[in-house]
Amino acid sequence: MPHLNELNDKFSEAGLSIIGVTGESPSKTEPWVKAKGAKYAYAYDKGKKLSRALGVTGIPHAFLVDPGGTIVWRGHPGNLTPDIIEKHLDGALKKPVWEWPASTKKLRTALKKGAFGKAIDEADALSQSDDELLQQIAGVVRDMVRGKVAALKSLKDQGDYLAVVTRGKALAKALKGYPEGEEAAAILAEVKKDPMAKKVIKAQKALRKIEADAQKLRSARKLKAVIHKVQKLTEKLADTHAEKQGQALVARLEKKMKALQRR
Amino acid sequence: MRRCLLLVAALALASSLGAQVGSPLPPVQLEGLSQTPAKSFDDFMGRLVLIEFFAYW
Repeated sequence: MPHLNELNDKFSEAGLSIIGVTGESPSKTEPWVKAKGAKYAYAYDKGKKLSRALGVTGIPHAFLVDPGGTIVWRGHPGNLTPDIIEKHLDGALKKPVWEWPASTKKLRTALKKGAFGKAIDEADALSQSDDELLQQIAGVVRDMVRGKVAALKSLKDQGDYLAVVTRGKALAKALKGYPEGEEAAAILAEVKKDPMAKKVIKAQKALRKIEADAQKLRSARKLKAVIHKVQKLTEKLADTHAEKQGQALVARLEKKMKALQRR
Repeated sequence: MRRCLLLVAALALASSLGAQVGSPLPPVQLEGLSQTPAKSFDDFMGRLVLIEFFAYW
């Protein structure tokens, strides 16, 4: 905490924002944060969804994400030295959204609504200005939209077809009539016509439901049956994302089962 | 020994599913953002962001 306070003091005006994230309850967390004197933002990861998506297995653990949304460093926060931050500050906005000038109001409204096509138009209009900050903001908005399409492509390459379908639909809609929207729609169409992708999506949805249902199970015997079900579901899906997700789910369920058996 | 190998395999698997350096950050939904005027994670757009997972214990 003191280490991060120092980094916050040193780099916030140069473009760094720190967010502490916890899967614990506000009632226990708030007094602790106050007592420790953390000066930066913090928030709650309900159900530890984000922590799981990022593969966090021990605490504390930190991720440095560049202005384009790419993870550039991960590790124990104690190992995060100022030079790592300096290396990635290039292109970071010196002012966060809430400090942007009034002339960006239309842009901010479009972003808030997720109307990314409109946001691109507003950014293009702002980039005509002589103001350096406005030009930088316009660039960041364009990069952010491009980054969303790039992330969609990366999900497809990883074979996470359920995520492609979920995120692709909204993105293609928000960018309809723009080249980026066509790109998103093309990625989505490719996944939809792939018969293997269809099977993977079906299995991914089934795994999600199995995990949700297994949350309330308190019997090792029942968990064992669920593990068997997961293995059966993914046995014909070798080398797919569904298989990986299935194996990770089995590992989580086995851990829970062993904890129950120890009691 | 076998158990140990299984554990290694499980750990390798967990890290293969986790977000690697160089990959895009998955969608982030945070609740109860405090000590900041930001209303959601999207408000940090364009900033270099350090996300620190912590716990009070």
